[in-house]
Amino acid sequence: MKNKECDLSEITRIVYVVLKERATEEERDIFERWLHNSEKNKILFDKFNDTSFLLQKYKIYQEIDLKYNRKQFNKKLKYKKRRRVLVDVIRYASIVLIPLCVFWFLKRDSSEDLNLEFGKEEVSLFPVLVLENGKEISLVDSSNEMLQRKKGMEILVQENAVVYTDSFVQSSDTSVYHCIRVPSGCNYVVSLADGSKVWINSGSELKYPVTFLNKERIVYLSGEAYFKVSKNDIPFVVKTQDVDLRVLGTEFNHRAYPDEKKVVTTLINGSVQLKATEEVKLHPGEQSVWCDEKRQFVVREVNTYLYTAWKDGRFVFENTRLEEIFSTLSRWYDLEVIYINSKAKDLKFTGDMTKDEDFRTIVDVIGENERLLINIDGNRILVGLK
Amino acid sequence: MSDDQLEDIFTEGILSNNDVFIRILFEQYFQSLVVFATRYITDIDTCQDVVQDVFVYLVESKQKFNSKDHLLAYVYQMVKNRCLKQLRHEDVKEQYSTFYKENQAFEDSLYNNIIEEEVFKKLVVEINLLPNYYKSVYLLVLEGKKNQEIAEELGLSIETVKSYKKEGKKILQNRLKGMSGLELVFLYWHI
Repeated sequence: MKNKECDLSEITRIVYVVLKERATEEERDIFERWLHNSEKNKILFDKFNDTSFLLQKYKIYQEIDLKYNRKQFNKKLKYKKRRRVLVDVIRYASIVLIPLCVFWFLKRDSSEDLNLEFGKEEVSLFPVLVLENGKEISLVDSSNEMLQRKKGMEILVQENAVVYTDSFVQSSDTSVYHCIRVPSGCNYVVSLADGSKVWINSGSELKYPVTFLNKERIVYLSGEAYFKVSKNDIPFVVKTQDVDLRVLGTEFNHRAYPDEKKVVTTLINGSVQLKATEEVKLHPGEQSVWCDEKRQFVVREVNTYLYTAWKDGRFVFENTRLEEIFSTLSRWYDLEVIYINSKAKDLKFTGDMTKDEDFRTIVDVIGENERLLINIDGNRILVGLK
Repeated sequence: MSDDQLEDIFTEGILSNNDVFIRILFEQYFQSLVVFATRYITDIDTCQDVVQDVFVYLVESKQKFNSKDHLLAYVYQMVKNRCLKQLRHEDVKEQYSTFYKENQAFEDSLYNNIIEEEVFKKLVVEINLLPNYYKSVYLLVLEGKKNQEIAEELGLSIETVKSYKKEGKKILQNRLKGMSGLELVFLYWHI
């Protein structure tokens, strides 16, 4: 055995590939020699095969909130820097400057705005149906189950879809709303009582009435959904935070994730009317982008496939900024992306792939870009430029 | 390979100790160093504090290293020293974690402890890569729970648990086989 200190990371790598049964013959040899080198090594290797150890480590890892620690680390660094500056100032400055220094010190706390958000809220793993009484039903395991059948109304939970049927109109239950919450990593389809069908994308929420009785068919959306609205004389209205969308019967995709600060509507056929502080009407093949900051609509023609492929289980990008690609991918795969150089966000990519892909494959392909530097570490991705 | 490129930047950084290097180091080693610190100090908040301080020291001291192994040995040793100092400082011997007490016989082998943390880090990463629903099932499997118990705990049917176990296993195995037969075309890139 060579000097121990020399092959620390090499042995780590070899032990790992041996555990994963991916070792080459040469690596196996080195491993065997290492294993028989000392009793300690054997004891160590047994630990890796003991699931209780792995679980124990895993649990400690889960307790460490990296975002919080990043913030603390930055704080400490800033404090150190300021203190160093302060020491210099005191050393050289005259007594007149001391009040200024005091002011500086006092200001220190308020100026440390690093705007890092704290840990994620608790997310459920499966789509959830929230009933009018607040009761939550997990939609993963209740295939082909009749949820409710009363007063001519049926709610049937099928695989990956909830179906509402309203066989005759009754006057009660006007304001009964249900809600479907879809977490990252899945899609869900709901058929509403009027026959309209809505594909709800990951990380989104749709609130809708159980029956439509009013002058308008109003639903509320946070996130992204594809609507196939059944033709009817009663207008169908999709409300998001800033934008009201109004149609009679058409197909369109509506994307309004609160954190993206914009609402993107893509019309497939028919026509839609959008209303915020101003109004705009779309024709098939057009897309409008409402920007929270500028508070106006911008309309352009697009290849609609790019914006609706998600409902058929595909990711499609055409000349799309990297930041946008990762924003979409992270909603599906639950990723955290950290940019070492923010310029990397503006690189543009084109691609088409299925959502069943291991995200590492997708990220690896993007990483083949010769200017880009990508490292995957768990569900964290570091992105930098060379 | 992107991993190698990062490795290169990292290696360069080891020699010069620049900002990018510290950021990469933080993202990749913070958690494993905290886990390592829990060998000495039970309280995880104290452990995180200690490791933060080590990183601050690395920035401040502009310490440079000859190699990755040099860096690893240095950083782990420093976390260990600071943990022990903390314990002396607080003079609370009960603070020594049970892990430390039980493993004192091997405590001299920092070398093996580093390997342990670094390999477990990779294994934990593997678990975290599983989609959430497979992960929740897999973790209960690790706990040694039976299908029936898992089904009850997660509110799933036994059939679902079985299929998740199978799927999760498939995903882990596919990762090993490498990526093949992919329907994936990234055509070109431009800035």
